[in-house]
Amino acid sequence: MLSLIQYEVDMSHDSTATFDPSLSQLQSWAALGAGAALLMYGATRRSLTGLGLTIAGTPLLYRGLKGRWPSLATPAEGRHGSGDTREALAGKRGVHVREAVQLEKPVAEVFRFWRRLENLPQVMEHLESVTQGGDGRSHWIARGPAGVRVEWDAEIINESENRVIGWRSLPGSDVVSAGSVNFDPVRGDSTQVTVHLQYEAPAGRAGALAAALLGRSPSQTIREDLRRFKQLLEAGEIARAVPSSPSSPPSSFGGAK
Amino acid sequence: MKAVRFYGKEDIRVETVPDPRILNPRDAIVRITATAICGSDLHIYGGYIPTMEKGDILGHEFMGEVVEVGRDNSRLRVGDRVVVPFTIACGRCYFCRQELWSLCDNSNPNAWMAEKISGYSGSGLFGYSHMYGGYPGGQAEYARVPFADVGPIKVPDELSDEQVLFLSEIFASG
Repeated sequence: MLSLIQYEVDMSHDSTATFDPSLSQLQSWAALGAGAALLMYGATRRSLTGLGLTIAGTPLLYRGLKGRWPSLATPAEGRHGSGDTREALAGKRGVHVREAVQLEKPVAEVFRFWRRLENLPQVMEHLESVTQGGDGRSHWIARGPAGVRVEWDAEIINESENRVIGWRSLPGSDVVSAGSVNFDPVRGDSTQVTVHLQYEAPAGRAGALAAALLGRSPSQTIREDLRRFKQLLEAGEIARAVPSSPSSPPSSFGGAK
Repeated sequence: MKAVRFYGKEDIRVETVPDPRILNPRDAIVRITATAICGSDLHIYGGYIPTMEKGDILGHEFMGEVVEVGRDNSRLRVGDRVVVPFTIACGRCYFCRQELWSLCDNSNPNAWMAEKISGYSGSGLFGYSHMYGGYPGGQAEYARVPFADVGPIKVPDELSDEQVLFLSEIFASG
């Protein structure tokens, strides 16, 4: 469910899956410096070589400023951040996370808890609230570990009772994400819950900065949320040894799968 | 209350710490009447157990009198004498249903640590490192017992502490 969209946020942080944020920043500065140097040196040579160096420096400058290399892709391909999940997440685009958990609870009970989306902040670490409209749409508010508030709207685009819930974020949201949760009966009266989350990797300075600050693994984050989900449904409470919430894996542990 | 705390290799101290309190609905608080030092406490004392932290309260063989119960714990009453098992078990997951309490899926809040080290996590344990939950142990005046409607064994009055204390672990584990 949408629930997991929140991880988009982590993702950013987490983009360990796709790129190393600190490295990305370093590359940006290096490219910026090298691009500027080539441009200035080339422009002052007043020769064919100088012109060549100037031209060579341009993409470096672009890389330094924009955080990515200039692309010859068509506008449709290159346009991220439009908020349209079909555009941003089509095919191999975006980051994929899959995690699953098994519970000794019948599928109908597990589905019912999850489908009542307002329940999810009880088990999802960064989620503050979910408000459902009557039309399959919902509003989500999450707060990242650094206190960054993120909001998005989502709609359920596929629902089959006791089997699957599929969703996507709506344009205008802080995150671009889509995913599904499958509920499969196993061993008779037990249930396997499988989350498949897809989100657009945040690009540019903001994403890189968030990634550098938070650097956590999205798949581990979802795994921990599913663990709490299982604890609450099976055991009736979420295990803890101290008054504060359980510790979460630090960034040094685990990577995206 | 007073408690036995780990500070490092061969550095164990008795200090005053805050009393434990009910944190979850199935908890109980036990006033300790007898506790033991286990051979495996020597592994901690020798500095061989990873994810121990300064200030951790030791002790996983203990018994006592129930002084407080959580609202969802209908099995124990204030005044019950109980022996508390080393392993903390929820009683409702797949493994608990097979009576494989030490494999409980739900009692270790730091299961991710044990998974990183061992592949899978066991149950939460009293006083035995953070990779097994970081639960304060029973070498103290009081202990909080999670899922106290599953593990603790009620003791009849005619049996003395010394006759039953070792049920907490060593009698079963040898």
